[in-house]
Amino acid sequence: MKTFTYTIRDKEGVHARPAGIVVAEARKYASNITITSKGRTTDLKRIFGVMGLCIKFGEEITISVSGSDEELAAEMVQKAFAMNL
Amino acid sequence: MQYKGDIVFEGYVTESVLVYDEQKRPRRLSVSKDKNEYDRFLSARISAIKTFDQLYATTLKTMSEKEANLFQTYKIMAEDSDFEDLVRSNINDKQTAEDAVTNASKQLADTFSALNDEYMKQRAADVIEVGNTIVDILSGNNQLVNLTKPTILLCNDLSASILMQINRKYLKGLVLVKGNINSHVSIFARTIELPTIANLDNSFALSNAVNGKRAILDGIKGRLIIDPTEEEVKEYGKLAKQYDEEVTSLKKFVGKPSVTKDGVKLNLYANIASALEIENVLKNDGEGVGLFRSEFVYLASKTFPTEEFQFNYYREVLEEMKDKQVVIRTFDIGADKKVEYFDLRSEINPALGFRSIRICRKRPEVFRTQLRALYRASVFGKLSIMIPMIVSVEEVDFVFDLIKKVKAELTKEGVPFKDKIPVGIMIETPAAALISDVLAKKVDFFSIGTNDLSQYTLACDRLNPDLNMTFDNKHPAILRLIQMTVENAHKAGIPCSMCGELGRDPSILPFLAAIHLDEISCSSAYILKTRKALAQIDTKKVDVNSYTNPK
Repeated sequence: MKTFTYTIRDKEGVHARPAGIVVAEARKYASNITITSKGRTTDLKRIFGVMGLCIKFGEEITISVSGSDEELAAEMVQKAFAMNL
Repeated sequence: MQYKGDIVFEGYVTESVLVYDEQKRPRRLSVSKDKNEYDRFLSARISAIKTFDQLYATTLKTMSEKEANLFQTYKIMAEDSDFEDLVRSNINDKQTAEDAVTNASKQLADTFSALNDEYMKQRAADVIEVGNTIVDILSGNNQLVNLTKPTILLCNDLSASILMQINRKYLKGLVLVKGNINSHVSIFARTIELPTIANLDNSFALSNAVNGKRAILDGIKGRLIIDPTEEEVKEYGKLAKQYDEEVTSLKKFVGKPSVTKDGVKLNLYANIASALEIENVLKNDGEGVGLFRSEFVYLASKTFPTEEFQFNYYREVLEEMKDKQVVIRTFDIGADKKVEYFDLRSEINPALGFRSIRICRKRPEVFRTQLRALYRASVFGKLSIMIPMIVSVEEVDFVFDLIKKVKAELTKEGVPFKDKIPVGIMIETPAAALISDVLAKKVDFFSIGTNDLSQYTLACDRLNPDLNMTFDNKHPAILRLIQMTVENAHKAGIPCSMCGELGRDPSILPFLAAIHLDEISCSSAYILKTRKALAQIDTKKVDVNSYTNPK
């Protein structure tokens, strides 16, 4: 399993547009990918779950990736966060 | 009849009104006998996804990837398995596909609305929009707005996808009776520069009865006038003409130098509080950022923002401004800007109390984190650091001591940073202005903060509306302090700028140019206006004495 943490830099938090981009990226991989914020964990491939976490500017989140393509998935999802959030 | 609303995008329009009601959707009450409702949903969803794909492509072409991504998100929402599960279970409860979709999107939207947060309520609107698109396809309901003549579109709210499909040739203005200036459709309206107002104060009379009537949309004052008198139409015709001329004449000043008629240069920079404003700075041709209010990084956070977080934020601002100068003011917390986690005692007289540099001296660890983040970010652009609320030499010495320590730490850790960043101070207290000759020898630049300088010089709370007669920021005492500060800066060979409201006041601009102030930093919206005003000034003809010694 690969995990990484990330702090949200977008002033508006995880709003619809960037949430869509990271979810779209996550869906490209076979691995299970979860996002944890404020103690709650949800599937990063499910946009309503991700938006329901209500993640705000300045918050730290943890992403866990496990599966056959976890190396690549973790790297690319991290990139998607860094570029959009 | 006149209505008031919030301004989304400025402009004047006089055209006939088309009332558009997005809410009315015919409902099918009984389920289809010959077709499986779930199959109907699946095929409608495929069409909806195609629509979102097309909107993505169009928006990418006409706007930018940032706007276009919204439609990619809609597509992902439509494809989402949570959404699909809800629709399936509603259909199993014998609902029509239309109702099943409407209810599923409502159920999801409710979970967002229940979070009791303005921001999440907007997300609820996104889900509803995805549902509506599918329902329109299911019911064969053509929700597109067909315009055949110039129109002001009046609606409760509008989805961004419908706005994107309207013929722009005829769409002249938009009124979102119940809309919000931060919604997606408002963002799109600003991007396509469509005069728009939202959130009207009184909306009960805005029904189909106004359809086809003539109206004036005043996007400057935020007004909608239905059935205007001939006089009003005439008056607004004039205003619109003037406004168009003004906009065109200001656009001519993009890319021009900021100089007076007789060649005195006065750089025009922008004041910002967030990285989101940089787009506007560049659009209005700001020559740099003269004041980045870093306290907003703290105000937006629930705990002390970490060094890493601040570093990334400052880096983003510097990178987006490219080779242009960015002056970041260290946090000005306290007085009217309180942050809970700073845990400040309540004060009887907060403007004279524990704020900015005074907090830094008592809690150097907090200040050190910010300085470390700033120095680390310095390699990504052209950074200057500015310290607010200085009253004494001791404070300045404290800052430079701490900077020395921070640099030594970073060097030891092998972290890259720029060694020679200009470090300046704000002159916003009478004390600092009066000893500006001494301070000038210690720092790299001055920036005069006229709002606080006026408040402290006049012993007058600038936030108290009862004092608006006393609060005169052009008082000769203030102008004398300004002149003195600029002169002392120049004697020591350092530049002096101004970052308060006074800088963009056209009546005082001749004085500022004549005393050779080096830079004005104001809201982006005033940069071109100030550049235009500056071009009409001849400093040789300005009587400086008349400002500081009025009769």
